[in-house]
Amino acid sequence: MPNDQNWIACRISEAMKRHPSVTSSVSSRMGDLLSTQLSERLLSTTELMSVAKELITDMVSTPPQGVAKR
Amino acid sequence: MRIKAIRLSWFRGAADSVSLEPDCKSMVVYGANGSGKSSFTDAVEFVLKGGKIAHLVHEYSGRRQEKAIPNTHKPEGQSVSFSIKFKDDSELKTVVLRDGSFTRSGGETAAMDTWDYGRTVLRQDEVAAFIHQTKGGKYSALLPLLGLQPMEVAAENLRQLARSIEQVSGVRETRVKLDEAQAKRTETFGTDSDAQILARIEDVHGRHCTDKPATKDASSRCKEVSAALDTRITRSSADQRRHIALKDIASLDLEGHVDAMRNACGKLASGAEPLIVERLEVLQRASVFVDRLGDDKDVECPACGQSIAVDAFQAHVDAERERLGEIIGLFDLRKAAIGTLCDTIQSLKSSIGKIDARPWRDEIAKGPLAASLAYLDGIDVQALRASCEEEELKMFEGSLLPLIDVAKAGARDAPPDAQQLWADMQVVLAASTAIAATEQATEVESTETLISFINLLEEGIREEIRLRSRAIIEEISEDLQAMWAILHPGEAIGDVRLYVPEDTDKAIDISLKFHGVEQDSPRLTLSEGHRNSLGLCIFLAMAKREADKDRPLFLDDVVVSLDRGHRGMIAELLEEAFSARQVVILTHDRDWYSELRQQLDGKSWLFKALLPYDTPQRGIRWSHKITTFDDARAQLPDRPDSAGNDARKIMDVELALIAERLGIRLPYLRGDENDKRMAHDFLERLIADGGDRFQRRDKASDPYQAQTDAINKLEEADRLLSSWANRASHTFDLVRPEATKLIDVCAKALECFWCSSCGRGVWFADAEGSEWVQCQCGQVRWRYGRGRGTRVDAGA
Repeated sequence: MPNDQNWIACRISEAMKRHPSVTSSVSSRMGDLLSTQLSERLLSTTELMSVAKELITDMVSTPPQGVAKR
Repeated sequence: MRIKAIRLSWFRGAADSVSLEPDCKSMVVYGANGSGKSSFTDAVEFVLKGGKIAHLVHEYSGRRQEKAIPNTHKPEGQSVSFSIKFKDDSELKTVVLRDGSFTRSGGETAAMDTWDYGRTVLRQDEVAAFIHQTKGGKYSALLPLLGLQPMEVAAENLRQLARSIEQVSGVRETRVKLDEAQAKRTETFGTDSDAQILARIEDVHGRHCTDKPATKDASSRCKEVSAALDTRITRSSADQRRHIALKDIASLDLEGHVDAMRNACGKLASGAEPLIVERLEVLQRASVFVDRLGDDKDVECPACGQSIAVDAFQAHVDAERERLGEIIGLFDLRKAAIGTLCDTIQSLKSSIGKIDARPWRDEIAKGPLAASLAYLDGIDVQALRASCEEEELKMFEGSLLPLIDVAKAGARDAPPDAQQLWADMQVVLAASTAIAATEQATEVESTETLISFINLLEEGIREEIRLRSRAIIEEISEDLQAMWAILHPGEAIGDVRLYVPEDTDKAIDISLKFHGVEQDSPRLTLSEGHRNSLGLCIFLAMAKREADKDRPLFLDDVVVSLDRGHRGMIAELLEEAFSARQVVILTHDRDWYSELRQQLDGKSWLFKALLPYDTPQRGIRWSHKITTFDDARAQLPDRPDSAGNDARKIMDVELALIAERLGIRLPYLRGDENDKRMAHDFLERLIADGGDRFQRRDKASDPYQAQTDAINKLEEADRLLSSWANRASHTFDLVRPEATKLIDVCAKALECFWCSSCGRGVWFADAEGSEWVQCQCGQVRWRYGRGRGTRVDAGA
């Protein structure tokens, strides 16, 4: 799964259909994260907090997009 | 990568340098209890587990097991070390230092530290461990095999990420505040719409801000009105201000918050275990602690000081958090209730402390509620946030509620102007809160959508894990069933398989049919022996799926509770399913060792026996013989009777196996009497048949000659077994010289069936069609089948 870009894009796309208000920045960042650090090792609290802040910013700073970019 | 040799030096039971040398072949090692055979398995485990040997972990073993790993009598200056040599001649060398830490060098190509222990080593105490694990434990054990670790990591990270977003955004707390704001709005405006609320603000603005044009922004309008009201209140009379202050105090819902707090505590207590609050506090702190451990390998238990692997500790903390998830929610609710209650008490303190309320306060201080005022002054709100128990709640009810009641009574006869000012102030406050809540609600919804999106991704990955797990588990189950069928042919226990329980995450269990009845767990019906047999099959089914087919397997004393019938089938199972793998079997079961020597293909299997352990200084020692008379010899000094008895037992087993391999025919006996034949029965037949069937030649060009010398040895063994061995068993008066001679004669008799040149048994290969069997080089041979001189048995 982790390196299967199509599989990840498909999962994100399906989740976006359920949550169309999720922004393109969020979907794009999640695609990158899932194919890299999120599937490589368990992240520390600090790392998770940092990713969480970025995603929250992504969620409010860009308009929603119904379809995943990836 | 196959193993050529494992050499130990002062490691565990070893003294100076002892080697197990399978030379890339499979191997069976026999050793009596305590002979040190498991020291070789310990070395393998040490590497696979990064310096840990699970069965040594206890409170006395030392943080790094430094008290358990070295030989107890290691001389000063000697080092504790071992090396593992691989097929490509690379060698992994490990030196264990005084404090239990270790250095490692070489053997990179084998990458042994990446081998999965659960598919490489099976020990006696681990055989049924898989069966006894929880469903979650079974899942964790199988996870590396399923190859789904990255997906599991991704799912877990997503779960934690959703929590982190909750934490960073404070969405839960904000949601609680929004709910409170909604309640306040309903209390002030009823079911009024936003437009109606704005109209009311407009009205208040019109009355109090006549000098300012109405702004379009509702929030600014509220601020303007609020400022105007403050000015009006400041300019009011002292009596009016006092009434407004009292109305502030009277509006505090302390009683409601005390009830909410009590309710939250009650919910927590009803679903909880003893000391749950304390335990959750510890768990939350442990969780933070675990996150900070980073790449450390071990953590010391703060209670007993025992060293625990960080992975295991993290897994345990996560499992506890999962298990206590609902209670943690109640715990958070209780914390929120404490927070609100503390905020209310802080408001009460500040309202009563206001200059406008001073006259009222001074009056109260002279009356019966003086003690209540003093109590309120003495409350440390910060300390209260850390701990608020029923005792405090009762004090609030007893001391603070009367103060609020008095304020309510005093506020009742407020002048109309003061009442209107206070009412307008409440409208503005409620409207400000409602406006802010509308803005916050958008943010909260956005964050909640993000969390839901991440949860959905996690759900999708977990579903994929379930699907893939099921597919792989089906494959393992097929192997498992095939192996079980070999070990338990024709038995009424079948359809053994692993399965993923429906609607359960991260879980695997074992089901079977017991006499046709479906069983959800082997623990419901299977005997210990059957469980162990099943455990062995599960290990082998998992090991079979190992991608690297050149990795060895270590089976260390795994047949302890299997009966002879089932034990005997293991050789067939290994030959059928693992003929291409290197398997190292270590056993203290002498009979099984003898059986394996006869059953397993001598071309790919080696057999070695260890001497009984003598002293730590001498350490582990190999016997130079493959038979097991050394056990008997070890008893000669103190117990010659037992030594003689052991020699007879060895002859009973060995000769039965030899007779079977050579097709010796014996009279049929009823029932299980056939299994009770003794060495004499076999020797008698072997001597009678051997005269013309057992032959030998020294060179390939020589003709075969009868093995007269061998027959003489068999006769001598038979004679001594009949007289001395029986005395050892029955009258216990065998003396040491007699026992010594008995053992020597028996050993020599058995050696007759093994070629002194190629080392193989006389049954090793077929020769000249079906008439003869012979050793590998053909120096010794035996004629069997329907050849000349064959007796037709059946009661003959």
